[in-house]
Amino acid sequence: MTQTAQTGFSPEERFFLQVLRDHVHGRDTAPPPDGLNWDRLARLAHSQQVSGIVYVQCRAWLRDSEAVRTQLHEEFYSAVYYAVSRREDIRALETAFTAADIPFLLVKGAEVQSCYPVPQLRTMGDTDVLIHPRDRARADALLKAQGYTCTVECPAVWSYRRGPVKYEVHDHMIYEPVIGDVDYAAYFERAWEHVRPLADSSRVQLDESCHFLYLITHTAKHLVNKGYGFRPFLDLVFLCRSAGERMDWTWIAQELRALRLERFAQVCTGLCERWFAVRLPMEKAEIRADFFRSATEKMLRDGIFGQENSEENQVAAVTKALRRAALPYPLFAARLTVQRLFPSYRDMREIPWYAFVDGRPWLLPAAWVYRFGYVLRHKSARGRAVLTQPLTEKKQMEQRGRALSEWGL
Amino acid sequence: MRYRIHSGVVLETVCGEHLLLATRASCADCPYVQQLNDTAAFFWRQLEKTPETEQLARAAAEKYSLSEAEILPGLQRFLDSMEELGYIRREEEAI
Repeated sequence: MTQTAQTGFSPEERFFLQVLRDHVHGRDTAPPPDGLNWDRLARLAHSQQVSGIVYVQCRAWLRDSEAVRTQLHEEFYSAVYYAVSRREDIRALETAFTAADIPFLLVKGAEVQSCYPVPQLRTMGDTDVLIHPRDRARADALLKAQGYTCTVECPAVWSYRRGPVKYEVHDHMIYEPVIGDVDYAAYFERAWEHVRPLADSSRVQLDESCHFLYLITHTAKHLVNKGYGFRPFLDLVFLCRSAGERMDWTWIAQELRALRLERFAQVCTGLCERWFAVRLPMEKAEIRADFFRSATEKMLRDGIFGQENSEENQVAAVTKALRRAALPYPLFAARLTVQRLFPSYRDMREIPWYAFVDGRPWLLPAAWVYRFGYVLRHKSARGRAVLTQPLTEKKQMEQRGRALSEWGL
Repeated sequence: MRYRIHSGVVLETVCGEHLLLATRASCADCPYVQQLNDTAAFFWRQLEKTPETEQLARAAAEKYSLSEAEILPGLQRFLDSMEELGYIRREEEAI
């Protein structure tokens, strides 16, 4: 029998996990014992973007008069509204891309939501679309002609917004290092070799085995960068439940080894078993009680994408750099301090108020002087905190490094 | 009388709840979300099939085992409220 006890968590946290577990198993949730702080539960559900799920699990016995019922019901409305708006918009996008002969595929939530028992309740902030780099200009012109406003968040991610719908149009699935020196960007360029066509459409669908690898990699990326809530783990559970029998688990294990994410995937499997009482069809790592507790606490605290825990997650970026640098700590700290005092031309030109250096690298020293002056005058305390971070937050970085190692990262 | 559904308005039934949703351009003209009861959702599904009030009344009369005369007042109230909210328009006023 699967162990599901979570001693040490608050009643709201225990009940929240019970709700998710019941949803995974398609069963009703029984009312919790009296005294549950519903505001706390609603905040937890909101931060994990699963309020709609909590609503449908609890609505049978939540009284109409209770404010939390109204709040959860409104978030249920919101989840359904955005889901249906996205669906209708994607239909129009598919027609337009097909007419223009632009191949594309959907990844993450937009694709995996169909595996959920109630697809409309798989929330997402945007729809991730993958195109070939060669089609970037044509896709951009087409979307702008349809009234979408474009924002380029980084060279490889272009966001398009119109009304309640937002697309992130990517020409690579992964842009950054996750663990070690594996070239994830190059690996996932091969995703186009793992797609199947859809009838009368330029849209193609990623094979579920490849999508699983991508979801694992994407989850690892978020955990290394900041944090992640429970939603990506629900994605893994529902994808495996829906398509597990036709997924090639031998190939997946082999590719996870190549991606250096085999141990991480096993940890995810072990945690999914503990959280949701389900077995994913792959080997699981043994989850020690103290790691289970710390990992669960972090998931609960982080909210979706670590947004609820930004202070702790600030350490994450430096820890990531430390792990990648593979230098003794004093050398790493010295290098980091120099980099922070004298940011590179590439970094400076991306900051709007130093953008005057763009195309004029010889102005970099002037930008540094301007920056020193500005920080001294307006943000001296913050500036000191950033510069002394390698000394003041060394312990937190070491702690985070250990936590990531336990995740297999 | 004939009615036409505003382009982009969709009736979605999720976990037993009927929600009328104004997607795409229609969200500028009507409320984003409106919950309907079972009868109103039935009327809407019929409206998706036929724009004629008489045919709607006939289908509803058959479903609820009532006469068309008994159905019509309630049906008309539903159509009026949907029109007032902007989800449908009378056929003469092209959308």
